[in-house]
Amino acid sequence: MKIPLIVALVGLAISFALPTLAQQTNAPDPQLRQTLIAVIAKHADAMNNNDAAAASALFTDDAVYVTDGGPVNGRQAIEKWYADLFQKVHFSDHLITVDQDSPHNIGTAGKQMMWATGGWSTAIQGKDWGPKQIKGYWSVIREGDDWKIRMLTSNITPEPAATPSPTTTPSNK
Amino acid sequence: MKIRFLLAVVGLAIDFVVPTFAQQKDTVDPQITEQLKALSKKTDEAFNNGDAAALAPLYTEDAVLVNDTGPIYGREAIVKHWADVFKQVHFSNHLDKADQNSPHIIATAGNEAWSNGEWTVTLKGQNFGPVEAKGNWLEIYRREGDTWKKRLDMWNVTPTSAAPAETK
Repeated sequence: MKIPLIVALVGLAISFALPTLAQQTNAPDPQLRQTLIAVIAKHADAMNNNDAAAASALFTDDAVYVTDGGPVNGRQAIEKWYADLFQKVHFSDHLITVDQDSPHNIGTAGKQMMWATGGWSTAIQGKDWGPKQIKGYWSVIREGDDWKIRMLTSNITPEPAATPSPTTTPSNK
Repeated sequence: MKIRFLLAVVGLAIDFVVPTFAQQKDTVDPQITEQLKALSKKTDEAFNNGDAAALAPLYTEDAVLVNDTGPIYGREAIVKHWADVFKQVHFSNHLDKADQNSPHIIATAGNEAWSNGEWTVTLKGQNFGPVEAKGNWLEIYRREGDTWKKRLDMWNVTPTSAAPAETK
């Protein structure tokens, strides 16, 4: 009799433990989320204004932007990267979304830090092509009192007609 | 095609910029660097063996994988995703290489870290390939006991100027 009771109690303990785990992973601090959304709006504005100085001002001095061409190290290099990009491509309707469970607080008493993931979409136009709609996803690590970007990376969703992608899921179109 | 070419040109520009920037390297316990290298090696082995189950212990229970088609939440769903991918595509020569400035320790407790790096791989499907592919990755790690695991795993693909024929 005693053993089944213990098993039942352990079972109960597990069923209580599981919902708390789910809560931990799915509920971001609402205030931190609002802060993130506010700083992201500045980034979207900078992209829509094709303003390399404004975009790079959102990064820390030692930031890394992991582009699909490789890492760009340091705010100065990131500004040049944006400037070169904006010379060739005009961005508009740049929209940034934040995933439901982001941001994740990874700060300590001495230093504020968070990481987050989300999606982006934009219209791009060149001198003799476009406009064209593209989209993808991003992840970021932000830090400090003004939540500057320490690390940013982004990817681009392949077009349906593109080369077969090993990761294209059936749910995506 | 034109956009891909442009991205390749931008990529070239970056190649010239990077070496001129001397970045300060974070001071990291060499043991942590070695442990994270071992984690990359296990990732390579799992991909090259097409073994999704071997990837399971490398992710935290609450891990997020950000693909170019969107995020996948949780170890179980991530392992299922890779199992589905491995059914369609054979991976070989998979090599994850961390950037020279990585890893970076996050919290003062030293239980979280992040790295970025490059990946290269040979892909072969039923009706395509073998084809070489490469790109970049970003990983955020959490230490569980003595083991470092991936809490966030994100990757992108470097566009190729010599892409296979595309429909216009």
